[in-house]
Amino acid sequence: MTDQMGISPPPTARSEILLEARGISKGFPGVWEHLILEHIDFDVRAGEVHTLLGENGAGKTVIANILSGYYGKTDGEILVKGQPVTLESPRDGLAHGIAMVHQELMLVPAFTVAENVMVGLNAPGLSFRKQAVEQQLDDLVAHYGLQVDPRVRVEDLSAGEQQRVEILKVLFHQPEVLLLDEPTSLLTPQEADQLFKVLRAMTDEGKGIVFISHKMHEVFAVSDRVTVLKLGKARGTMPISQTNEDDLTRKTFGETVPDYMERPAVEFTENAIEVDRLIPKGLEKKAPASGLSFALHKGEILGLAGVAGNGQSELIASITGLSGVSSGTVTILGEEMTNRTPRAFIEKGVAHIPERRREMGIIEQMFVAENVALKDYRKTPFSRHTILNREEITRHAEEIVSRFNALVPDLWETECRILSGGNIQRLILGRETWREPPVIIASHPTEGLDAKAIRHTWELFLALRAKGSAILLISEDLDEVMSLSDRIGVIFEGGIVGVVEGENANREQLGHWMAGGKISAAA
Amino acid sequence: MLRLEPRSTQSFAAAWLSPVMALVLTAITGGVIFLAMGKDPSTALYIYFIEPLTTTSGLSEVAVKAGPLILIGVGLSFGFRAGVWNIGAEGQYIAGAIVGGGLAVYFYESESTLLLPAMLVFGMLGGMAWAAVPALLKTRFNANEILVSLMLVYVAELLLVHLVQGPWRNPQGWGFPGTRMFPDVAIMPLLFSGKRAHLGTLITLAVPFIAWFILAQTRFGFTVRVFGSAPLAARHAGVHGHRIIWHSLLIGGGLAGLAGVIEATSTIGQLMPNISPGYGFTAIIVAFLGRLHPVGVLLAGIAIAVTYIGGEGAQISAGLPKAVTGLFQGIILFYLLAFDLFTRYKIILPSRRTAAQ
Repeated sequence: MTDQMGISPPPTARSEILLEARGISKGFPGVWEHLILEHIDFDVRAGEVHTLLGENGAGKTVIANILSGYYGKTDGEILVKGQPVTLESPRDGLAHGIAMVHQELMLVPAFTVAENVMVGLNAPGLSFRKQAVEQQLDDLVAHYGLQVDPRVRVEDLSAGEQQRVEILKVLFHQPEVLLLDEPTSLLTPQEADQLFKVLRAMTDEGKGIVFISHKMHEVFAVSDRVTVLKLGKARGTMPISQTNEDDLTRKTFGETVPDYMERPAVEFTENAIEVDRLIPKGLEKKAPASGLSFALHKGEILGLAGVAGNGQSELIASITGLSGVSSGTVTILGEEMTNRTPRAFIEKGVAHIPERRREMGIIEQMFVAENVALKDYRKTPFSRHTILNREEITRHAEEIVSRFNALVPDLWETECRILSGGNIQRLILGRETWREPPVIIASHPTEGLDAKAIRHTWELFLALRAKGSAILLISEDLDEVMSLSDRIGVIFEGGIVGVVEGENANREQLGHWMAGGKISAAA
Repeated sequence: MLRLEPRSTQSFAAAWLSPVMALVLTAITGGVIFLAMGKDPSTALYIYFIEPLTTTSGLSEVAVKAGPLILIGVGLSFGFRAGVWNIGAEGQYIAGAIVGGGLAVYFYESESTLLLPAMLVFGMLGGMAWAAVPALLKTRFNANEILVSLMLVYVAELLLVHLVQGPWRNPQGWGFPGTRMFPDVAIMPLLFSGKRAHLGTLITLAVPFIAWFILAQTRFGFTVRVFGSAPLAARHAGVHGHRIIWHSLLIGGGLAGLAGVIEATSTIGQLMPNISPGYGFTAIIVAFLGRLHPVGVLLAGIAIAVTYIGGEGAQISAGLPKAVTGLFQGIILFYLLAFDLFTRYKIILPSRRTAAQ
């Protein structure tokens, strides 16, 4: 493909092709027809990172799933080191040295890290050598600097840490080709940089990496070559040195992602959320004695940046009622709400876009319409005198689905579990914001969305802000925090270590605070 | 090689065909077993499966037998849907019979037509009270409701034995354990003379449809489904978990208690130690067999009842051993669970798969 485009071959071009797809096509039945892949040619060579870039629904994940044996293909062939192979299952993929790290976490929460790794192993005899596995993992952790304790139970880890476990799980198999589906979606910038070093170390060892992303700076940070996909078609493969951000953005999205969102100046007077010397349950040992304090005003977007696992989840839980408060107070719209029930927070007007969307945001085995009504079914017109009004629920779900461009086959036939992460997030965003609630707690609201949907979400947040909603934006994506926030606070080990005006924020300062640096004059 | 793939959507045909296929294979397997026992398979199968459903007395018996199973099964399905594992329905059934039947023991000379309705209400309350214990311990101390409800079965059984041998024993009963016979006003009116089907049977038939409506069409039913499917998401949606635990246990206990008092006031007519042949436990199977769907529970209850009645018929007219009943229940369950696979997975034949690629 590079030759066809008349571009000189990249430095790695002469190295061995580890994995190649020739004319891969994939058709899903029924409503998913728009997601087909059309005659994709793609290859990854020893010692390179080849990035698949494209927006949601472009087919990046589908290609990776086909190349690793998770999906079958409709047409085309797969070659490993020049030999045609049939991949019937992920196990076949692993046997050929191909491993994939999925975007969604696929871990057993009650198991330790090591036990999760062992789940995927073929036992040679009856006995697993758990200690041997732990030892090997320790070596891998040390070798790649992934910072995970193999003996800790997965449910005790943050999402970012769990992501590292997923990577570790795959590294354990010593694959030659590693496919990573948006691996940085849960990582902090530092963690992402760390990951890129890991990838570099692997390519130096002669491995081939397929990296899926829609974050431009990552693509440039890590790739040797990049293939742009749009709606199931390849829009070109090129060495990263022969393209630039504007070019790739145009190829991918056809438009540029805005850097900073302009907004009307508002004087912040009334407090929507006041958190005073808060120490949430579970953070008693970690948090500073003074706890965590901040105020979020009506009509303000407060970005909360921080490395995963520094108390964000606990803070969110205590200002949505999901779990208790150890000490300190939470005041919402002038009413003290410390340790009240989730229902009380909902009725007070606190909307919550949760981080773990498949477990908390939706109910996977219930239908789309039911999921859209999840927060509202108790209220008229969705139910009257305890009887549900199916027509109203359907009408409402239709409206949300179309307003938020969710791709949903059917409201009452489709269980939410078969939807993609992006579409689930669209449903959650719609459900949580359609009432224009006075307070919105948004945790990683655009994770897994494509650039267009991200921009729509940002515009939605600004519109809600203009109508007086107070938005607490918890995100590890600094681009997002910096684009959207009126003020940015950084959370570290259960305390706020720095606050800065959104317009004056810079990446280095925030990164410094996120890594636990001292409060400087900017606060 | 055959492969199984999870279905992305539910298949209506598979959901309804799989029980039918299971029944057909049960009949075939049963026929082979009868043949091996030296019986004519067609006659034995006829006695076992067809006779209970084609004669009026057979139907009446099936209805009487299925009644408690359906009532309890429907009640349990609420809890199981909500992820509340009440397996002590047997105890709640006995508690219902004790509290409801106790009224008839104390008012044994009553001629009031209010006695029977009052007994039904008391029976439900008795079952609810018994189920309230695991609900309280679960919500207060997070005690495991499986253990608590199960252990309370033995408490209920021993309490019943104590009562019918001690304070409530029939003074004219020649020392046999058992209360006085209930007065006529405390006996369920029969629907047809000479048949045992009674008014309680009609209640039993109505309950699954009421439950269906509640589960599918009301806020409460929605909440139960939400809570049972994803507790974390339910909490996020503002569902009060404790309330659901209480409600589902009280519904399960209430319906089990109702079943207990109906049984005492109909086919038995008194309280005695063996008022239940294990309905409360069999109903757990019935609930799952019916896919926790009230109408499914209705059908499952009838199917299990047929095996009981058919088994009795087979003992009497074909001279088959009693164990055949249990054997058939086992075979039915085996095939139903085996075919359940097809409602959740589809089979991919190798030839089709290759063609699809």
